Amino acid sequence: MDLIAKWAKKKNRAPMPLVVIHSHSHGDHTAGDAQFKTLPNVQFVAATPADVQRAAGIKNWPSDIGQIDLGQRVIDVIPIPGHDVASIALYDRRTGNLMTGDSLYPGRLYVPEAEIATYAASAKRLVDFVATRPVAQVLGAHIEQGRRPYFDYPRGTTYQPDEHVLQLTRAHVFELHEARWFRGRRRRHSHPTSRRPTGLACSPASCRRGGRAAGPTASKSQRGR
Amino acid sequence: VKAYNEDFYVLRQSGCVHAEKPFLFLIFGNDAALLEDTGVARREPAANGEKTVPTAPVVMDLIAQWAARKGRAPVPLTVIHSHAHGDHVAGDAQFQAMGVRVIAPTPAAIQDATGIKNWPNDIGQIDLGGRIVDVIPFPGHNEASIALYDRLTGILLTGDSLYPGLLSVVQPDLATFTASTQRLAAFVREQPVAHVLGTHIEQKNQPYLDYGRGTVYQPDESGLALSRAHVFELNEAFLAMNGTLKTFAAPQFTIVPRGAATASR
Repeated sequence: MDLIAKWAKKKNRAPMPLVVIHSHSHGDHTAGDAQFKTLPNVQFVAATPADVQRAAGIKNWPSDIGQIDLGQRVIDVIPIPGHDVASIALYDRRTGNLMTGDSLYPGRLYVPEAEIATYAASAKRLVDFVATRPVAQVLGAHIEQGRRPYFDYPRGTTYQPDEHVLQLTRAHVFELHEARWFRGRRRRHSHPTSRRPTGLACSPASCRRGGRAAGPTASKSQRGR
Repeated sequence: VKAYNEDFYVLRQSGCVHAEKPFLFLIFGNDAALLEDTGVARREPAANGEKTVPTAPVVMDLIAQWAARKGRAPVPLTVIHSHAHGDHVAGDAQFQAMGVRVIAPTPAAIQDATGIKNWPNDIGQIDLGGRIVDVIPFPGHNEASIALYDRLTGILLTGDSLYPGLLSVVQPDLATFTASTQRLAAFVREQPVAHVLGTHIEQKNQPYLDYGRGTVYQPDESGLALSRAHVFELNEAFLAMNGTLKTFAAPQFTIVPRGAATASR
């Protein structure tokens, strides 16, 4: 709220109402909600498909694209369920920045096994979206990747002195979509002699992990983020 | 000259020498060294009456230094080309004069040297001794275009076919280029790719911005490295054209249609 106050002061105008929306419903992206809900001048959109649909005018989830109009600045809201039922991407038409939450970021992308088809369909819709639009940067909600290709910091690392920058590119949306090809590879990698954990499909800037893989690292516990 | 590591060097000819500023790559195995491209050979403009760009002495010196550091005899050099355009082959004569084996930038010569039976569908290999470099025919920008994949570092060299800048394509070659890109996408689907390195930079450090062609001074240019993801992005761009060549801007490269007469690089 302090940033909004400062912004208003710099622009010499009254503060404006705030809309809160979520990349998805996991705890590490929504836990601050309670602090906002009670504030005046805040429009709170709960992290559920129904609430996002209502707020962004999405008739059919997940195939339609919604909009939030901030006044001369339209944000497109693209449903991309998979990592979570309420996952969305946001596209800021003004800057061309695409925000992809936990669905695409430089790090390990977690997908419950049962949602792989949903996730792949979302990746396809995201590909169709960026095919016809300029995309300046693709910004996700975490960094776990190291600066060098294929290297990442283990989950829960607090000090990452040599981490990847946050921004990925339009090209990585296509690469994510191509990761559907890894489904066959994953089966091959489930061979006992494979040294790679089953279900881990890696690209230089991200890893995609299927739910059946690696037991505790990719089961229900993963859905909490 | 920049050492990616002690056995992989990236060379660039300066904008003061020639506006194309092409990159060259030198890779060492246990038994042989491979140079991709020989670059421009004539300074434009000449400096103090000096017209020649002495590329071969620089490369031979690197080989000598490498051998000295390893405490062994220098290894023989083979020259191969990303494609046949002048700014990538003009230094050939310098190397031939030193007795270096130069693979001519023609599909037939490349097939012979790397064991490619069917051009462009097969993939050839060059064995440098404990280090295999895959040779992937990539006709489109030029009929003799290839990509090289160094299995040791996972680096993919894409020449003028994919680099951060203005990729020139002529309409008659669109179908060939599209098919090549599809083959390259299929290749990288199965391989780890550390970096994708082309042979020019024209892109700026911000998405969608580039220096015009022939810019000599580019203080804010993008890095050379693209990623595996950009191979897929290029592939999607060509597929979306559906047979009709048009200008297409991606954040890190632009496909630029050119007239057949002017497309000599």
